[in-house]
Amino acid sequence: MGRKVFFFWLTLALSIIFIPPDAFSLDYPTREIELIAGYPPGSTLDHIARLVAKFGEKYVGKPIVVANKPGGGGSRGFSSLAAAKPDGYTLGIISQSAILQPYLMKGITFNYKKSFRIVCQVAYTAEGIYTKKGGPYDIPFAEIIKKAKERPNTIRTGVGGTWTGSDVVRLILEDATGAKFIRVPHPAGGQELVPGVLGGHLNFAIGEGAQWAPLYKAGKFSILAISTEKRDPRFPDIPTLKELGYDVAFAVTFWIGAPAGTPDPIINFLAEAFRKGVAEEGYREASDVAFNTPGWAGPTDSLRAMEGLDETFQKLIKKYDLKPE
Amino acid sequence: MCAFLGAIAGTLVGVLPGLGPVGAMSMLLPVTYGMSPTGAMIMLAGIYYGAQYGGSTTSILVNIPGESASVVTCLDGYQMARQGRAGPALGIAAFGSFIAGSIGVLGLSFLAPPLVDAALTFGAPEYFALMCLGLTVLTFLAHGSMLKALIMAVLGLFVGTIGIDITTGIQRFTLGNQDLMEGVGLVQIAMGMFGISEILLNIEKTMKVSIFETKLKGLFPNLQDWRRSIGAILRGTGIGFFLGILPGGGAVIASFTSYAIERRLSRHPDKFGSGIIEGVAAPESANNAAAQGAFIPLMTLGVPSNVVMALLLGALMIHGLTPGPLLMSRNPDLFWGVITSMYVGNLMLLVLNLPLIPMWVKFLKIPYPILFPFILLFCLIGVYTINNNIFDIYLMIFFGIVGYLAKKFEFEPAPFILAVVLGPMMEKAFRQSLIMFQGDFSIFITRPISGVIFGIAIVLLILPLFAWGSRREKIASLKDED
Repeated sequence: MGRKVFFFWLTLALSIIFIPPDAFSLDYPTREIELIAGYPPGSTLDHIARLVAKFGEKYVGKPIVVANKPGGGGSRGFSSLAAAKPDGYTLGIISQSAILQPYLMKGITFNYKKSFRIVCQVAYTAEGIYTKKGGPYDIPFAEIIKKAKERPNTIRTGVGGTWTGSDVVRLILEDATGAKFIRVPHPAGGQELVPGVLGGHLNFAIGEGAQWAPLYKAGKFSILAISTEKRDPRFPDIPTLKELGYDVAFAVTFWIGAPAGTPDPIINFLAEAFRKGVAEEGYREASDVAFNTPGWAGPTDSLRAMEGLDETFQKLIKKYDLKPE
Repeated sequence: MCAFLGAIAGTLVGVLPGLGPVGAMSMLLPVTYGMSPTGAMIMLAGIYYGAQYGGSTTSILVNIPGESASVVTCLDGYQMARQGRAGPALGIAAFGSFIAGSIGVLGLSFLAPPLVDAALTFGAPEYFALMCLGLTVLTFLAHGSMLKALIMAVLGLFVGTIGIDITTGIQRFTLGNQDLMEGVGLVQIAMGMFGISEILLNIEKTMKVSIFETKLKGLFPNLQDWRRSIGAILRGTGIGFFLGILPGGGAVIASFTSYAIERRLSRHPDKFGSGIIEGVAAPESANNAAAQGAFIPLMTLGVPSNVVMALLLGALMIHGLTPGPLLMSRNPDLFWGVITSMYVGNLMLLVLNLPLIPMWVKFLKIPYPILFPFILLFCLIGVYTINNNIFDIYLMIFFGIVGYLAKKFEFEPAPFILAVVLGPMMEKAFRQSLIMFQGDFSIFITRPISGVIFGIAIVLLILPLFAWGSRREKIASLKDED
């Protein structure tokens, strides 16, 4: 009997010695993690969430399950995340809408700084300005701006829903150039914009790569410019708005966030795990197909980027006196 | 093989009201990661069809639309079930869907490019015209008092406005409630107004009275059923297919429109709503044909015309393929593989579901007092699965009570539901048109296509006046004879 007790304690002592130090300091994760996507299945953000889940989970160690909570242009997802327990088992996809919505929508209780801790950036995508190839507006972008200034409110541009990335790019462009377009909103996004441009109902449209890239490759669309700082290596022929002389550098960025109060060790662990996931070849390939670009940035850098966007938005809101509705 | 699995999964999912194909497909998406792209598409397509058919099953058996496209099937399908004719109803739904799907697949294979070009000519003004036409069609749905039907329609339009305004982002009638921001979901309303209210009405009656006629009048459609339905099926297919092609067009509208037109063309319009087989054949064919048509914009342009297509788009992208004009040329095997899979899927569904009909029918024989708690549970769980949102349950119950009261006072739910669907689409198209043309109202008539559609709508509106005129003469002449 004494022998058995001795061996028991010996085994216990040995196993404690051999437990890897990480596990000691961080008893996480012990079960699966929920990743909230405030958008319907099949949408761009849902797609990104699923990619992050698929490639991140092997580094996180436990399955990551995407929970779709569509509603309010993403706000329901953000609210859900803000209200969740900060124990690291609920994460969410965050887009720039999270920064913008408190300024422009009534009934929003979350705030990107106060309600969330940003884990890391995971991807971004450019807004492209596209038109029908060979159509009357398949001309250098500078000429379109000139036309728009000469005759304001005659050129029809399609954007996604109100205050989505494309709408913001339009606003920034109009602000930077003084041109005024007819803004035709399309809440359903790309699926309405693409036929609109092809059918000639819209003179041009602003939208994410996933909308125009397939038809661009097929030779049906001309892309006049993209909104990011640098050219996209997949589309080396498309100039950036900056190159064309407009002070616009805007990328629709996507982050992973956790509820405020989630402890630092968990945030850092996740950031590192997702960094590895985002660096994977498979992630890049899958992003390519959707015309997103993988891009990782850590918690501090991501927060700084969001603050930068916040500043831009605040300036525009003040200038155009935009109020919450 | 994948088609079979997909079809089974889909049917199971479709039978659970609320959890539609979108939910099932997104849950099973990770399962397809390991498969080849063709296999994955086949399975997902199988789920999609299966879910649609499963939705029809619950519509017929228990008056609960499994998803929005199955709402119209409730109208006559459930009545047939109550008369002991659930078998023929399910059968004609299966066959009608199969025929429509097959014709749709043919249409897709051969007519895709020219159809797409035609569809592209539809801009916002044309959509608005089409929606207006849809609203006039609504008047064909009315049974009893036209006034009551119109009241329901107006209420439906109102409910349709709840949510975020598309142009300005202003919230309308949401009372600051985040759950109402995207509007009131159609499936929640339909499940409430049809399913829950039916349960409430039935519980009212003495338990001894059987809700369902237990003597079965045949398990499958008989010759007479076929003769009556074949026209409905073909017409439904045509209507559904074309409405499905239009990006943003829908199976819901297709099903309502084909039902209404079938009624208009019928020699006994009054029988619609009391369990007439054409009332099942038409919408079922229409919504299947619309499902086929919806693939066209996806495959040819890479543009998804509804949420399910968007999911398929995402699935293809995860597998490294980009749908669009290049898909046909670069990956012809995938393109034709999908087409073939559709056909196989349709066939599979038929094969799978026909033997199940006797089983479903037996299910109805369970005494109602035991049956209805399960149905209720089904609904409650199902509606939650749509959005993982408890609010939807409250919504469904609320509309259940509304539907119950409506039926008590002889107001019909169908015009209400159609208005909820059409209202927002109509308003969006209208405002987009006016924005595009800076307030010029004349475009609706000067643009050829929209002008023609408006013309048809006006004709349809005026037509009853002529009929009324001749009826007055008949009545007058009858009076003279006295």
